[in-house]
Amino acid sequence: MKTLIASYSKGQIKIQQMAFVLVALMIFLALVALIYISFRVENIKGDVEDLGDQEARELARKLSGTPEFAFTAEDCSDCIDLDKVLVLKERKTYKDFWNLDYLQVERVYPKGDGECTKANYPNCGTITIIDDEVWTPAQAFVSLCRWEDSKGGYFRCELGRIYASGDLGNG
Amino acid sequence: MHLEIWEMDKNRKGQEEIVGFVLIVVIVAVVFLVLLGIFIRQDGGLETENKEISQFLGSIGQSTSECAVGYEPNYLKLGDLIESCYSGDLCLSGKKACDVLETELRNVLDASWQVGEGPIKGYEFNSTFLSDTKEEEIKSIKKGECIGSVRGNEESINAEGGVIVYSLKVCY
Repeated sequence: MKTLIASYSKGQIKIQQMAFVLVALMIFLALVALIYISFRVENIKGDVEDLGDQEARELARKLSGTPEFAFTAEDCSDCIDLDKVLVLKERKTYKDFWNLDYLQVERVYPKGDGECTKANYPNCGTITIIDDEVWTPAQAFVSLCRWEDSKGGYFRCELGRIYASGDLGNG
Repeated sequence: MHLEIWEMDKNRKGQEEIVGFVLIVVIVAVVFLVLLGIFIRQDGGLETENKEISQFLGSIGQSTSECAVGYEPNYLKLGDLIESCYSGDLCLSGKKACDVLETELRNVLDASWQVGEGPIKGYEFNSTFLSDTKEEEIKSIKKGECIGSVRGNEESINAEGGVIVYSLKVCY
């Protein structure tokens, strides 16, 4: 009788041991799964942000390809005509032409200071065409090309950025 | 005899326990390796087709430099200036095309990617001439430290006898 009881409790201990190992293994695998899922979610969030960012850049870039901005004197898809942009700024009818809240062109290099007017152009920093509401505007690098009168006249291109916020697709 | 059988049975049970333990250790090790792989892939963070940098490289390639060749105002675009630097040309001002290229590239890179301010830790600009027979570095400009997440892209322009590839890596 004594032996029987002892053997029964040994089996119980074995089952308990296995159950503990299984539970520990399940907890471990669950933890691993949690870490993996949180990583994937983080990655997906990052991808979504990147896609939004790319889309915003495309918006700004798409804008630079429109006839109102495009520099057509040379074959250059990265260029916008700064002379046209200055004229565009003066025309208030163009304010509602695009469905945008904000539209600005900035000279990056050489760096300029202040908002451009007919008086200080081209020695200035920015041309703001639409300034309704500033969210976080999308930005894209562009080449700002203009006619330079000095030395007999030539087209001069400088590095710039275009900032835009809104939905050009519905414009 | 009875004691021998009992001892053999005990040994076999011990072996089974060891096999079970080894199996668990192997499973845990495999899971750790998978996790490690994911972590390493995360840390690598090398993005070689960044749109912003592509736009930047395209735009600087079109920017007018201060180097005129042949007559004034025949100022070279920065993209063409890289080719002139490779050919060893002189600008009308008497300066070497490579010196003008270095100055302009440094200025334009510093104006666009402020190292130390915000998240940018450094950048690396490289331009190389590539042909079937040779690969020659034209100009390389580095600033800061390039560790961690890297975003980059490259552009290429046709040159005599080959192609000039210029690339930029920005490190965050």
